[in-house]
Amino acid sequence: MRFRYYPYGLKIATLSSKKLGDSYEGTLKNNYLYNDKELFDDADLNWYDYGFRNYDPQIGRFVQLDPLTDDYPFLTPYQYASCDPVTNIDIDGLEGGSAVIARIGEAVVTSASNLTEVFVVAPKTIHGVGSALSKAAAGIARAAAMSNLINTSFKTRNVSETTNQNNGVNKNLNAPPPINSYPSVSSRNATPEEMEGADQNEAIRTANGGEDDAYYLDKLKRENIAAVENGPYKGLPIIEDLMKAGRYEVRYSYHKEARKAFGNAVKEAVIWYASGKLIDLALEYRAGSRILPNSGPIMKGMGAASRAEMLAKKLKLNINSATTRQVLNSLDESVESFISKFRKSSIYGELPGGQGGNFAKMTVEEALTSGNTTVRKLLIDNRFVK
Amino acid sequence: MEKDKTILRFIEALSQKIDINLLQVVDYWDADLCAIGFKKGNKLIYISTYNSFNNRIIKYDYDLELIDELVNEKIKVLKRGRAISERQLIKEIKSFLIG
Repeated sequence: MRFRYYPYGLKIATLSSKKLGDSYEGTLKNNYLYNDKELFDDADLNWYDYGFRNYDPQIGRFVQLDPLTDDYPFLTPYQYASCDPVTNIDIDGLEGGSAVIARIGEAVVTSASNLTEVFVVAPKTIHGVGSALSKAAAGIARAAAMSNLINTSFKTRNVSETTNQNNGVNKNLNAPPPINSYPSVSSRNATPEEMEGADQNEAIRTANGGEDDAYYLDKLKRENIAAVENGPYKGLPIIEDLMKAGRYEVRYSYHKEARKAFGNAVKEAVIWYASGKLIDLALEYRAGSRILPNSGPIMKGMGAASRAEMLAKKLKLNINSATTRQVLNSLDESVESFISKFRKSSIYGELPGGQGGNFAKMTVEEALTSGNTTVRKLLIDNRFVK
Repeated sequence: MEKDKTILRFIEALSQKIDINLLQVVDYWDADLCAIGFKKGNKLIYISTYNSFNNRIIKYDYDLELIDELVNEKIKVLKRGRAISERQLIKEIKSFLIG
């Protein structure tokens, strides 16, 4: 069955499916509905259990006071999801957490979405593609800047060069350079029907107020596509896709392909972002490859590899990291010995108990499985590898 | 390299609350799927979700550090926080790195 909800969680009865009865079906009932929270529907109560408080979707408010209300005087004590149910879900009745995993350009992935179900707000006109293209490129640039991918490029730029007074974005060194806006869409808003009609050229000319398209196409190419092509993102596959979308766009008769290419680029960007691949790229870009001692493949003896791999999974370690392999190849060594061989001795000062303390005497495996955050951090911290 | 969804979601949540372009995301803990760092100048915050990544309610551990980027020999932790909420952590980040 599929249910649809208003933003604050009230079920939209007319849009929710009503499953036909099945004579073989048991009487199991799913009460975990809106935001996967349990619905109390006894006596038509219709409250959701959020852990710390109960939520009434009919009024869009919790029915108990917020226990943290003193810390947040700007929010009403009964608020749900920080009063923004479109971008937030309430986690536990205490605070709103963002439901948005990634938002790049006009694509939004929420915690309720599969990555394969990326919702792209498809532009309605070819010029809409252009506008969306700019936003997507800027969004990707922001994501990339956030993960340091292009920090190095920006550090050499002057602040004034990266500041766009018109739209107020890019106000710091880490932000992407401005991507120029497209010509006003409003004056050129040919409808999809017009675009897809037999005489597209005429429709566009009409929408342009009779002006020659070549003028706009040249302008687009000069001012916008070039901004992307010559930008510091050049060479990134995502940007290549966006550029492809842009090239399609200037050839307006291919606007469907442009939309498709744009959609693919945004989906790819969102998946990259959500999987942390941008951060990965940033690290590759910055550090290059670095060979750590004792970080070869985990193949010490029969069963050793699988033991280490299982432990990596249990401990949430990245098996592809050289630091992880170094740690996993040293599981049976004492922490003291591990540090003396592979880490700078200065970290003893932060190790609980110091050199000769309890943690120093433990094996690396014991120390990691102890759950002590400080020890975990120190053993894995690649700032202190020798 | 990849990060656990608890970390990715936190980064997204943080970007909703503050201008994340003011900070630099650093990953000195690339081996740890449940850890990430944010840096501004010589201030660094280490964040880990390892102790609660499987829980319904995610709690965060953090260390506030003063660092010397050139030397990287010593570690100076100013404050440690353990098992705190997302809201408290964002507050800490704001006051330590931005405020």
